[in-house]
Amino acid sequence: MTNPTVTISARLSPEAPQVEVLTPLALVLGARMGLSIEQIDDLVMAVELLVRHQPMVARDARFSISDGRLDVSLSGIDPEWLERRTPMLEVLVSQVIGDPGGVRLLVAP
Amino acid sequence: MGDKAAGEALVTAMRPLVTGLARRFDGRVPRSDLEQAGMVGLLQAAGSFDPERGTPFGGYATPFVMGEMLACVRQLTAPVKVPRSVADNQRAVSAAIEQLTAVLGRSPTVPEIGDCTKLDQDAVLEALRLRMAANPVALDEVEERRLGLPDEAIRRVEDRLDLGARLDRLDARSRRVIVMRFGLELSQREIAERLGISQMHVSRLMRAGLSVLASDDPPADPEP
Repeated sequence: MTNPTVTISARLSPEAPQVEVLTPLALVLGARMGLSIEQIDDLVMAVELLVRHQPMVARDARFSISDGRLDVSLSGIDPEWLERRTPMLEVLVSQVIGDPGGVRLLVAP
Repeated sequence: MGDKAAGEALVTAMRPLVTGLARRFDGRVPRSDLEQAGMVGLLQAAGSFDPERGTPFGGYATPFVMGEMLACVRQLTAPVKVPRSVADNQRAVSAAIEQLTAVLGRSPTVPEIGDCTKLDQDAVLEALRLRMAANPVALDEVEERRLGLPDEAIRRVEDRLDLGARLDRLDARSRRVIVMRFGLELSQREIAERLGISQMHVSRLMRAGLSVLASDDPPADPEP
């Protein structure tokens, strides 16, 4: 089964309820991607972990389905923290890629 | 010193008090939410504090800080009231997940749950969203005898994940689930089988544990 390319972008202010905005997006896009409930739940936990570590910052988020995988990009992530926590995040998602000042999480069914 | 500078100095000086009080609620709600509530209480206390009375500010502020934290805990752990139809869907989805997991030998997808429950995708997603937002379970719901893991395995996970001794801050049951997921890399379903509980229960234990671990990480400086 092939999934058409879908992209949703959001710019979140520091005061926005970021977890409450981002986790439903992960749920809906994960479902559309054909991920299992457990994969979606793990992705949601990864997003929660990232956002809760550094709350109250302006953040860009991008959810994209393409090439048979879900690609979640978040800005506003402390690179030192990310380096320490990457082994943990890699258990929750298929791949973790550090971006300058952010991170990409890739999940494939 | 201006009001703003004085407020910032107060927050810096009193942060250890707020952090210490927030630890009393570990595992119940995210630490960041508690500390934010505690700071509100701190500023309230500062507004009415009279140094002429000779009471130390820390002692005076503690009831204010605790009051705001308790309000925060009550708000975040209050049962979510949902319409009956949504609650019925949630029960049907939970039952379908358990049933499909047993039959398929893996975690099901949303369309599979929809087929099983005869619910449309939006209803399934709504039920799942509520499941994920549910309050952490009472950790004593898992029998202690099912949780045996050698201390050596726990230490290996602490080293591998650079957690220091932070796992010690978790309840024993949450710690075991975190070790199984991140150390042994068992899936939620495999952990559920080993512990004789549902995948949803494992998910909640993980979420409670990660919440404590995340809040114990040294805070990052906000972007300028």
